[in-house]
Amino acid sequence: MVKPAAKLRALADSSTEPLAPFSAAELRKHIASEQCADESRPLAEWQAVGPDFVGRYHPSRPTEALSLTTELTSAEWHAVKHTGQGEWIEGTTTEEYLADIRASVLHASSVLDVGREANGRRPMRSGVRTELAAARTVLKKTAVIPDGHMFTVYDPERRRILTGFPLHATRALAKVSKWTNHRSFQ
Amino acid sequence: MNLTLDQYINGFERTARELPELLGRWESIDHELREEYAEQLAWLLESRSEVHALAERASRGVEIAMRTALATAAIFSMRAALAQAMNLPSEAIVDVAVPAAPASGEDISCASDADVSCRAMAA
Repeated sequence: MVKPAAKLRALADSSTEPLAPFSAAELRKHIASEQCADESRPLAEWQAVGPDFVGRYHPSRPTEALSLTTELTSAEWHAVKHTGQGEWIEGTTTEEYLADIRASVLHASSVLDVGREANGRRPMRSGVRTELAAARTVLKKTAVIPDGHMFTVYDPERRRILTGFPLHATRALAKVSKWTNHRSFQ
Repeated sequence: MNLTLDQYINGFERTARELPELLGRWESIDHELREEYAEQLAWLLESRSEVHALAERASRGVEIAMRTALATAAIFSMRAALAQAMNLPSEAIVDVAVPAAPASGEDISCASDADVSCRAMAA
């Protein structure tokens, strides 16, 4: 019996691979159950390009202020970044950030995308696009933007959720449309 | 945006300073970090109009416009390397809406993309 992650890898590798024996909802449920990438890096490395997050609150220890040497896991970094950018409301914690991502992935309106990124190393990707307006009742801290989608990215090779963030529906579609072997399943 | 003007502009200026070194060792940088850097640079550039509007309301319009213009010019000078490394089109660097000039303001015209520093400074 093929496992969900193996099916997502096969779907990323071939545009003729059938979805069966899974449904898109079952594969989304698998993605929602996975852990986030857990590599830890100092803030200075995460933010070498981008705005300055020094002095903002630590998303897992909110009474602690971030410094350049603060070690952040990938999930913590994404919580810092997306809250700073205003995509989650101020004060959102790592757990709350991840809870909104998982809730959006599980939402019935979501679309599953599969393929490989169109860059030099072409890593496998699964993506889930969720209409923010449709899912707003299950999202606790996400800032809902007009015509916005939550876009969640999963790496089926490493079996890790990489990120999730809201963006305009057309831009989310544009991102996945560039993938090699791209297909969408609802 | 939940960031302060200083958090934005200090980061934008740091980015312009550090990009040459990062681009010089781009292929040796971890894939996840490279994606982060590309996304963060795109966000900085896309957010300029919002930041300019925030700066106007904070009575820091001229200062922030000047500083973003200088950082934009520095980033524009790396456009070929950025296009190759991050797939970032030159249009994403120069395409910035700015608040209307005051009625008494000087009209500064820019003829081409090569005049990015002039165009951005017109902000």
